[in-house]
Amino acid sequence: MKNDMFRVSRPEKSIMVVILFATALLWLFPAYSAIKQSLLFNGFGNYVSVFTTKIAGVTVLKTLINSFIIAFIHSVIVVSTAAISGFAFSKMHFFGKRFLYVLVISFMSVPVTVLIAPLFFTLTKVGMINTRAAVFLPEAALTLPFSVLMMRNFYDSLPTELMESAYIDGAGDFRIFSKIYLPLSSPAVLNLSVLAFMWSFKDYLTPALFTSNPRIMTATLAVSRFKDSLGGTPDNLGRYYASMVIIAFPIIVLFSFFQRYMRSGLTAGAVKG
Amino acid sequence: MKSLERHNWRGYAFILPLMIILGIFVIYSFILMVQGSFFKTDLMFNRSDFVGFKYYKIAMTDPYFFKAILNTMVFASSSVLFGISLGFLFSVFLAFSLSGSNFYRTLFFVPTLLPNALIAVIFGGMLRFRFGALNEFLGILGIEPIRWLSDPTLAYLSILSISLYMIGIPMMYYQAELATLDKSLFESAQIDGAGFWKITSRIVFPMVIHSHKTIVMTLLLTAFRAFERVYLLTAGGPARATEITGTYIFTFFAEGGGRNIGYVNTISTITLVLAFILSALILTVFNTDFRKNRKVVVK
Repeated sequence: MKNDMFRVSRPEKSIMVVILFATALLWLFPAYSAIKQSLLFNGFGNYVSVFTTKIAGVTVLKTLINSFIIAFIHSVIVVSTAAISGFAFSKMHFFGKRFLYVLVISFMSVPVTVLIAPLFFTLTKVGMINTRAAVFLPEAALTLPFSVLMMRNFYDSLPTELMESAYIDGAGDFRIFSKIYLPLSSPAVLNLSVLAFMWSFKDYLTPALFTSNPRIMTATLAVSRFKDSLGGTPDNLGRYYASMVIIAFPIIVLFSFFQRYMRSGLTAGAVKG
Repeated sequence: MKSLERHNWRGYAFILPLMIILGIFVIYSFILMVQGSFFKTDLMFNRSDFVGFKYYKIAMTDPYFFKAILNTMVFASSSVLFGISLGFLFSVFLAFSLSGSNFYRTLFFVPTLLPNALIAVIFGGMLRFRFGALNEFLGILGIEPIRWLSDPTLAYLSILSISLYMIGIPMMYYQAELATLDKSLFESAQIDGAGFWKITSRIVFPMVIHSHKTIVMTLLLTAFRAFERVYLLTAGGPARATEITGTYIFTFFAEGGGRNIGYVNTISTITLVLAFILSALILTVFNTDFRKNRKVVVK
């Protein structure tokens, strides 16, 4: 076959298919387990119950909407901040640029668990505890270093000559960024938007630590709050796993659809260290 | 006319939003944390007593803290191992035209897309003693139900097994690089009589060294970020066998009604220093050829 990496025999291909198929079964087993448990005792009644009643003071659909709102705001903040500072780090000259860039990039490995006590203090002081900002702002602080790296690498790949000729035409720095370089960076902006949305959607610790109001509970937080609320009785176990399936389904559909952008965003960002 | 090489103060204005966010939530947090690690403090950082290095001494002599650091490294390394072995092999398989390859590509990527918290509770349900899908499956084979999460060794293996499902990111890097390889190299090897295993292990595997490095880097750089997988599956138990730095810090933060915040700051500071040392090590070891090969995988 033309599309093959190199020539292999038919039996060799069959072995590959068998191994992949067996692995796929292993991958599908947790999904089978979750669906099976979501039907415990009441069958589809569990789904009806989860859709129509509140658990831990909120409906499962509302937690998905909350996740969407927070992930969207997080994505907007991260993309706009990373684009403008990535441009400055790549194309502008100012004293201490190299030092500041290395400082920002070094925060890439900071784990949020080490910041929980100081963040709790700061967010309480400024009155943000129990608001959506207490989730998307700390998230942005932790996802920005990688995002800045990604955007700077993209601007590095664009020619500096554009900047020079615009200067000669008398354009200011911000106009050069917004009218010339930002539109050219739209592939990177798109990749980063999808990634930033996913990072926030997947985050558990930030909403768990800094929000307790059920009205802004995210879907990822519902994973543990619903469990605490429902307890371990067998028929509640069914309702619990029904809500987990409902949370997983849109994530799988949505992110599978957008996985192309995540792949190109992550490979481009990580390779050009 | 402005010179491009001259100092341009507007650069600071462009990075100001970034610096404000990082300044408030990261740098200010570091300052609070390091200061707080020398005091007996409460949740609002009201200092009562200066304790000097007392908390550091406690942390350094707590065997559970060392165990947590070790476990963090073991769990991160297991992801690297599964990624480089199985992730690589499956990526090679998917470089051939096989029936259903698009389905497999997406399926192996799905666990990477899901929140770790969700994966942890789904595994928790699968491994339950009663109503657990794994024990029910083993029952069909005539095997007695097993308490997966109550035995320290089995609980440890259960958490390790999640790493197996996390090969999506490694596969993503391998697939991107495999697509760029020059196929003519394999043709001459085949004329010399090399078979599938020989080409895959002797030629392809060394050729994707670039992806190997990226995978080791990305997975180890984020090693100390692990939390949900342990917290929601075993909560660090049984008998603290599966504790990692994330759960170790969180437990002291959440318990004791805020009386342990001084100690939380201390163990946070130590963990942060370790994370920085690890990333500095990784970057110095791997960064050199990163510059040289930077165009390999970029589309």
